[in-house]
Amino acid sequence: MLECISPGLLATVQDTGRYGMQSQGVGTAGAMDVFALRVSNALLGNRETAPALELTLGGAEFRARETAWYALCGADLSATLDGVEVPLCAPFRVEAGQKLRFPLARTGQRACLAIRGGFEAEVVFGSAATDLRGGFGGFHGRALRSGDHLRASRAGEPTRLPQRVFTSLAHPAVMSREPLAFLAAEALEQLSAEDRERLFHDAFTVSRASDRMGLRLEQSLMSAANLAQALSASVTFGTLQLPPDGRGIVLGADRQTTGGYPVAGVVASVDHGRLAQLRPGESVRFRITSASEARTAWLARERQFAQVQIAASAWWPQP
Amino acid sequence: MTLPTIRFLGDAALLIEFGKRIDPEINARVLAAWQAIASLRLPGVRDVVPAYASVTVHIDPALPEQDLLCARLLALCEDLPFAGRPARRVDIPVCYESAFAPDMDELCAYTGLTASEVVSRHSATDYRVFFLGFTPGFPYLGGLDSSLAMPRRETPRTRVDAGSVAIGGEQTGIYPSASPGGWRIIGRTPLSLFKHDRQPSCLLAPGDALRFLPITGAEFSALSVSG
Repeated sequence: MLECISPGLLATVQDTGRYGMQSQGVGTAGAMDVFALRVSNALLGNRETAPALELTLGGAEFRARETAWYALCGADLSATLDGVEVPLCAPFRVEAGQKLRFPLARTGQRACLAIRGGFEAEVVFGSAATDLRGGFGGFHGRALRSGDHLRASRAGEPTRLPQRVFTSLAHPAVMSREPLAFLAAEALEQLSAEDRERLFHDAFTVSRASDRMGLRLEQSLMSAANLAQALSASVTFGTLQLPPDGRGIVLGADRQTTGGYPVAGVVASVDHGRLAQLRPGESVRFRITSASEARTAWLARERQFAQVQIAASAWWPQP
Repeated sequence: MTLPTIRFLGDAALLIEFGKRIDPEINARVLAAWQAIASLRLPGVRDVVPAYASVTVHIDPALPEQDLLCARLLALCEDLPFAGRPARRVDIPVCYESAFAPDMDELCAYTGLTASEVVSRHSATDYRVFFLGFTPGFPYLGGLDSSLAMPRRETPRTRVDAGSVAIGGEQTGIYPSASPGGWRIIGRTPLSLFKHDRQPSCLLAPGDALRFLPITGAEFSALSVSG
């Protein structure tokens, strides 16, 4: 059992998202950095979709009421266990009574903390993701508060002590300052040549109004005002919408199911984690990519994931 | 009838478009395609989502043979059972009395109609539920009498009660849950459009034919208690 002393800016129980209900208007929610969540679970021999905690920026603090194994991936929130630094992307043991602290974000802004066995959570429509607006799923359909207690569904010790730290996965995402890979959509060619040029050359500032619904960009693409009105349709994580004021919105996990703004393109899946880690005030750039390049990059990322699963299979008893 | 087109939307979704208009006939094909694709339960397909004139198929980006999948989906969409199933009729009881209709006076002033004319016109039409989206259970309705159209409020309310029936521009809708909103509120239904722990969760389904049924405040209270 894990006691929340302080949730920090925002702590929610998430999984890989609630798919299958978007036709009813129910959004996917889920972790912003899904890859980090999957890796943190894989390191513990959990199902990759098991519920984990998503922590945001600094300030979270927990006390372990029971001994259990944990793994932490995504942003580097300077995590410590009783004052001793905790490695990213490696399983670690927390004894009953020990304190886990996440004082300050060094790189990125969202970390996934998984527990061996997965956190117990309210499963709605097949997913434990917290739908904050709907008020269901995860931990009683809400963000964690001080005094909340989380339980692991099925704790347990490893059969062999975990050896390897996947430093290469510590933040493939977070560390890189490379532009985000971007796949063009219909509205892109309707922008002025000047704006298309700007989209792929300029740096855009992530607005303070950004949240789990989407990243709002501060600089405007003025020709967006002339775009043909779009019919509302389903949208995905990473979709770049252009409202008439030209300030793009890159949709996140808590996006609404459908959107009516013109869509200039979509950030490739391989860069969704980096999108999740961009902080308000940071800058972001885009580069055009092709479907085949995006696919190759994604498959390479999936191979890294498979390597974690295979390594972890030596550490944990098979179900 | 235009042929559907299919293209990638990013690397995790396929967008099938049946047209570029809000049109019940196009939407009927969309809904038939949605049901046909969803019922295939294809591996690697995470979600199938209809809208006015398109179906979006959300896929695992690692799914192999995506071109083959596109061809299969397109062939399916070109050969749909026409018009799909007959529309289900759903009556939504609405109390249009002033306690539930804070914007009725403004709507009357804007449209030049009396409140009873607004009610009779609003409840005389069969509305089509084109699809559900935006928020759980919210129906995108078509069929509003154009004499009732009125622009949204310039400053949205910070809270609109669940069940509020409202007009925003050329559209009418029902707020499934309490939320901020800028539409003109002319009534309220005691029914819940969405409950995550009810089966089925949504009161409405895409393709439904909906009619608003005027009720009194007393009937509203009775239905609120029983519902």
